[in-house]
Parts: sequence; C-alpha cells; structure tokens
Amino acid sequence: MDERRSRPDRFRPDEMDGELTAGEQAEVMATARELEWLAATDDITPSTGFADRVMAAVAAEPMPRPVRAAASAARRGALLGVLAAFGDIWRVATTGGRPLAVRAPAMALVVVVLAATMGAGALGVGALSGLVSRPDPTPTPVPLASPGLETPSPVPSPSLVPSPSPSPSASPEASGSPEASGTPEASEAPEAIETPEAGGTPEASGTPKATERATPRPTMTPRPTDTPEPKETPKPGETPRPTESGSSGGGA
Amino acid sequence: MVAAVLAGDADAFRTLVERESRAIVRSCYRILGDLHEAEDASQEAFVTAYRALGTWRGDGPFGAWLARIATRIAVRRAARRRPVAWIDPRPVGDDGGTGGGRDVVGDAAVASALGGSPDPAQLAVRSERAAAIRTAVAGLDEPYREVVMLRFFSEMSLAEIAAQSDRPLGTVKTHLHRGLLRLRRALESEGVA
Repeated sequence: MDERRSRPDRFRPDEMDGELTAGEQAEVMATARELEWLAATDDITPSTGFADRVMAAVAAEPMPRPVRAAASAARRGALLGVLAAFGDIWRVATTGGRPLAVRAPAMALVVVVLAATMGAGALGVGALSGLVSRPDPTPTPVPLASPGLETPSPVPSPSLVPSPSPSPSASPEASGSPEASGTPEASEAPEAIETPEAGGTPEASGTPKATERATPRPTMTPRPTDTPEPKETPKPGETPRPTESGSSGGGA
Repeated sequence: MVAAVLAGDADAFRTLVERESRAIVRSCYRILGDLHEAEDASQEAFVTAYRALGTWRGDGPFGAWLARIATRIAVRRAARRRPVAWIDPRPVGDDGGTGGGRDVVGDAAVASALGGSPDPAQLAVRSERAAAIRTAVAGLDEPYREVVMLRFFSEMSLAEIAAQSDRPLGTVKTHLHRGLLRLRRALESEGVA
C-alpha cells in the first residue's frame, strides 16, 4: 500500500514514444543528460528538525476525513473546493481499500446529497410539467366581481327569466265557450312567472297576446249580466199590474 | 501505515515524514533552487497530503503521490517569484553580493559534483547553468513540465507517472520526449545547450 519507490536508472531511448529522427533523439538524450547532471549536483538533505516542524504543523490539522474537507470548504464559501471535496467523497465512498471510519461518513454524505438532488429535481420537473400541460392556454377573463362573490360565473336565476316558449294551450275552454258560472277568472290559474298581468286584471280583448305573455290568457267569457234575467212570476193571488206602455186598457 | 493514520494514529504519519522527507525536499529544491524555500514547500506538501490522506487511492507508492503534490506546490511557488531569484548574481570574489536564491548547501553540492574543487569560477558557471535549466523547465507548458519534473526531479519511473496522472504509459512517453525537445529549444535560446 505504501511501499517505497525505487529510483529509476539513467534515461534510456526506450523511454520515448513515437518516431524520432536520429538528430531529434540525440537532442533528447543530451537534454536528459543535462537534467541528470542537475539532479546529481543537487543531492541535498533536509535540515535537522524538519520532521518535527512538519509534525507540529500536522498536529494543528483535524483528522484527515473527506467530509471534514468538504465542510471546511463550504465554510470558506469555496464552491470549487466543495465540488472537488465532493468528488473525493464520491471516490472514497465508491471505491474500496479504505478504513470503515473513512468510508462510512463519505457514503452517508453521498446518500444525503443524492437524495436532496433527486428531490429537488423531482420538484422542478413537476413544476415544469404543470406549467407546460395546462389544458386551456387562453387566459380566462377575470371578472371584476365584488369582493363578496367567489364564483366568477354568475348563474342566472330561473325565476327571473320569462319562459321563451309560448304554451300552445290556446286552451279550448278559453276560446269563447260561455260559462254560466260567472267566474271569469276561474281559468286564470296563478302563475309562477311574474308578469305585470299577474294581478289578475282581465284583458278587454278576447285574443291572447303571445308576444307579451308566454301563456295566452283565456278570452273573456260573456258576463251573465248580458242575458236577461227572468222576471218574477206573478203569484196567483195578485192582480197583474198594467204595463207602463198603456196598451188597450178600457176597451172591453 | 496510511491506514494507521486514518484510524487515528497521528504519530504514524511521522514515520512517513521521516521516510519521504529527503526525496521530497530534494525534489522541491531542484525546482526552487533554495533550501529554505524547498523545505517550506515540502512542509506544505506534507500537510496537504495529510489533509487529503482519505482520498489517496492506494494504487501506487505513497511517495509518488506525495512527490506529485510537492512538485505542484513547488511549481506554484516558483511561479510567484521572479525567475532571476534563482540565479546567483554574485561575481567571483564578491562577498557582499546581492544574495540570490542559492544557498550554502546548494553551492556545496555543486562543489561536490565538481570533484571537490572549490574553484569559484567553475562554481559560478555551474550555478548559472543549473539556474538556466530550472528556468527552462519551469517555462514548459503542461503537461510536459509535470512529466519532465516528475521523471528527472522527483525521480519517478514512467509507470509511476502514468499511474499517478491517470494517463496511458504511451501518452506519458510522448509527453516526455516532446517536453525534452521543447526544453532543448529553450536551452539553446538561452545559450546553455
């Protein structure tokens, strides 16, 4: 896992790839020798106490956990740092070879972030589909209704509208058969429709007015007063009275 | 060892530091040319590695992973300063010079490489040449710079570089020879090669 590295040998031509001319290969080898010379001259060692200084700096750091790195990046407000830390967390959570103390928080955070992302995505898609699939794209007029009205579409009251179809019952009994009952308004049944004539005032004309009323009124029957009333019959004991016209009174 | 650190044994990390510190400091020194700066970069590399220890895949040597971190930190530090800081501007015999990036340990190493001869003139020429090579390597583009540094400064094999950088071995070889060709052009332009 943390094996030591082995220092490579001198640079060899087989460490190059591609086709190089002889001149290019010589240039590359000469440059490599320059770099190897520089590496040989700079063979130095760190000063004493270097490891102590490093450990003192490390002691001030929190335990190496990817979740802590993400949290510290979030506290700093570094968006790129957060994204990079989440990439590390994803790698730690999805690949093996690490202690459980490192993997468990990373996996938990990945689950939380994925759930939050999917939830937000579902909400967004739902809102978007709700906007797109509206059944009536034309705007409906908003009634300037009084504050008390809640439903915008007024429903007409049927009691206030006259019936449009005139009743065909130009009733035969109203067509002029005189009734002896003397109650001319008997056929005028009280109507539910409110008309000015609803007061029961009989009309003078005998024809119903279909334009004014839906139900034609019955024609006026002749009044019983038109027929001559029978005169009182004389009683047997009475003397008939002479008529006023004075017919032949002393003639006999 | 790494598992012990992750399990809460912080002292186990000391073993890793003591085992890898020499290679890491040397690698950083070859990039920076200054021992104190190299040790600072190495310390930062160790702390960075400790923080990210939970993300180490464990599919290669720990030292190779650490060397890659140290190389990046050293390159970043070298980019923050002027390249002339690597060059020792002291003329021969001038003890009150302006300092520069070289330190006593580096000069002693150069003198040792020269066979122990303390010729100041040769020492100065060699120091300038070493600084020019560092400058040229640092001026390479990625990914050539990283491959050249890891191969020659961190002394990693091409297989280790391929494993650490998630690249095929053939790609690493191609990057290496192209990087060396570009480095040759840069050294020629500076009159070193």
